[in-house]
Amino acid sequence: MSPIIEALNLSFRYAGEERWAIKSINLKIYPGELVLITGPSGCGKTTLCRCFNGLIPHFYEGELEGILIVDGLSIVENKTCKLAQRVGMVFQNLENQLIMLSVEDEIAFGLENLNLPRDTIKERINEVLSILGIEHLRYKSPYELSGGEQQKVAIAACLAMKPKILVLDEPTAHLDPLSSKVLFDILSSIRKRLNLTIILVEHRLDMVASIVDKVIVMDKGQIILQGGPREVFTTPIIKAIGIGIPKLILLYEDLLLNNLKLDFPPLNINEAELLLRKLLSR
Amino acid sequence: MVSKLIYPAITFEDVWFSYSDLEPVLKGVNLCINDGEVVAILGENGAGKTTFIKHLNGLLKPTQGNVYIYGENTRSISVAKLSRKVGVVFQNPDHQLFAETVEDEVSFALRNFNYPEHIISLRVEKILKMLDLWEYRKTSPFSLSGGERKRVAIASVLSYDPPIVVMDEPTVGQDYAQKQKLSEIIRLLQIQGKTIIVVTHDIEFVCENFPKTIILSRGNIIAYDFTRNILTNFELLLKANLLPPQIPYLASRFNSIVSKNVLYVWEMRNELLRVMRK
Amino acid sequence: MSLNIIQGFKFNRKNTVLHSFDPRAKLVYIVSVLILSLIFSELCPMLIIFVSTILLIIVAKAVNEWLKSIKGSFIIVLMIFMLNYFLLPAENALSLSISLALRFLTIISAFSIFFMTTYPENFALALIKLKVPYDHALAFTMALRFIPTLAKEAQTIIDAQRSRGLELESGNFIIRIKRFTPVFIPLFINSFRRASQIAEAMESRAFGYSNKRSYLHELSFTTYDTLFTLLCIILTSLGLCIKFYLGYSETLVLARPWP
Repeated sequence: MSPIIEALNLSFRYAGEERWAIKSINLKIYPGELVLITGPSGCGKTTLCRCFNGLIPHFYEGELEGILIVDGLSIVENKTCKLAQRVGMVFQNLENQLIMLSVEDEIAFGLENLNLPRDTIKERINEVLSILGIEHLRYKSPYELSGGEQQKVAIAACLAMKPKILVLDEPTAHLDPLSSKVLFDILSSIRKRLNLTIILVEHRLDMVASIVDKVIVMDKGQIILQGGPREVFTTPIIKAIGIGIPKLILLYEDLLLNNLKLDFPPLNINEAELLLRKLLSR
Repeated sequence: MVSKLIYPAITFEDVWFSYSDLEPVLKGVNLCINDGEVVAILGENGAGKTTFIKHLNGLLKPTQGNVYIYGENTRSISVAKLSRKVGVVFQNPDHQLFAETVEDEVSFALRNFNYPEHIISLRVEKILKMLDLWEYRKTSPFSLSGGERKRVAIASVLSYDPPIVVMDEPTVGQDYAQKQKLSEIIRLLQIQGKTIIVVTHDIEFVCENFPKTIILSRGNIIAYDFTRNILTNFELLLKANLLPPQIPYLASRFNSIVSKNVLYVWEMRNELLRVMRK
Repeated sequence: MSLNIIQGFKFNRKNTVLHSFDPRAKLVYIVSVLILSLIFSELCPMLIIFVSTILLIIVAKAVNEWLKSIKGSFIIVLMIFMLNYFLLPAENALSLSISLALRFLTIISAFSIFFMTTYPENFALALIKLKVPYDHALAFTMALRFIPTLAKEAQTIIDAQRSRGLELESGNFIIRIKRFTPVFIPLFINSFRRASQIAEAMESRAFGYSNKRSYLHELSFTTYDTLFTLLCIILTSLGLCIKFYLGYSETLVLARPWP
């Protein structure tokens, strides 16, 4: 299978800045993967996300080097408005991405931009409202919604454009833990149903560890580690980067230091319970 | 000073509050926080946490009931005067930073409170050094990183040395290293004997820094107890729509053999070792 | 109080004849009310126009909201009445000042009807139909969309600065304006940031994809709209005739039953 996103030596420097925001990024993301990008503030996560739908270099000016191909299109030659049908983007700020006066119009906005016929627009609105289970919000204004609802609407508005890739840049930064969990559950259910490739930037590793296929850890504009979550979270140098390693992984390592080896690093409670029971019965 | 010894730091007496004719946000809150306590407030979005905080320095007055700070009713003192006792750090530093330099930003409150210049410069120096911001004193707050801006906002409140420090969601948008720094700041304030109240969603942050926790749910305080008792009481957490932290949750799966109030990784490990030795 | 005034101008999603009217028909109505209430200053025609707007508000099922906003603007109405009553030298000062106060009430009520029954998005569409460029119409809807957000942000900033000892209430006008600097600066900076984030979000949803765009909503000028518009035009013409051709007092004579 060929990658749906491929970066070759991708670097970007914002206009007027000396430092490269991202430097020599090489990565391959395959169709259907759920990829977590994490790292300390200022590590270049957001900059990388902006590249995926061409906001860099078309909206943000600066110096771009290297190649990034998204679903067969080069981001240099294709503007964001063209890439929008392939890459949906959900932002951290809840309110500023919702610009219309009702949820229905919000979802319609992108479709109207694409000049789709009215019947198709209506069909798609009904479809995404039911996928996200937010039919009851149809006529509400964005500012009447809770944070979790706002983020669902933002996702719905992206999905209506039938993208193959969904990029979410710290979507839960302003949500409480329960709403965040609901959001992550939605992501892991829609990815299979809609055959989506999802790129998720997150700090709450505890909650997402068990739903992601691949973890990319960035620091100072570069990719430091990438691989499966069990492998990445247990790599020793990850401690030096300063990201919140899931507590279950810490328990795994702590037990290891005490000569108790679980079969593999657990990513969720059920796994951990199973492994510990096995250990105890030994 | 006398009043500080006699009265608790914060007292809520059957406090109700509603914005215009909407449903009340606070519904009969009763609470007493003693001087020197370090307390976290947990609650889902919309539970009334921000409204609660705004009652502490009189930005909001109760629709019904009373709030006392060191025995003084917030109805009878101005916000400016109350703010000298209750320093509130708002969630988003971008909602308050405005000055040309970090130094000016941090001395803003001191000037409002009419401190003499030589004291202002002493205070500013002390606080900037304490929060690792001294090297930025001449820089514009807008050119700093998110974590540094957050610390400037905190410094601008700590500068006038209020005995009660309140923070609204200090960990939002902060990464792991910045959270560690926040923990350090809270510890420093604790040593100085300040009463600290922090509203947060970050249950792990609460685990690590706060001896006591309040749970606010639908406008009411449904628990005020030691953090360990609260975070290992899943029934209570569920009632407030909160998720239990992972380690106690895992421990609960082994409740027949593992002690009930396990909170930290090392405690879980010790429990497992104890069970296996048997 | 200020919030109550807004109540009567906020769109209410209800199912009434007025809600189903085309915004353009309702625009014609507003213009009619404006013309009629400005050309007459006599009490009797003013009352007729006023009662007709009240009837429409009842039809629109918006009496409560309207009452709230009227309550909010009560002081202005009272001021108009008092000023005229005490300052006008005319003989009929009482009836004249009542009708001037009514004129104000009628005009704001007409606008209130328009905004309470017209979904802003449809108003934007009507503007587009009236050859206003799409970008301008969009700016209008977005302005409405972000007013509550901005108001909330301004309040948060004021709270944050007051918590640092900023006093906004005391001092004379110049001093007060100066004291608002720590409020204005963060508000401006955040608005710039917001504008950029909004633009980013819009581009990410294919804004600018093509010169043509489609619309979810559809405006249809139905028979009812035509009838309503015609009625407005006829009544306005009648009013104009009476005022400028027949003369108001002569019409009263004509209207009197023959002995």
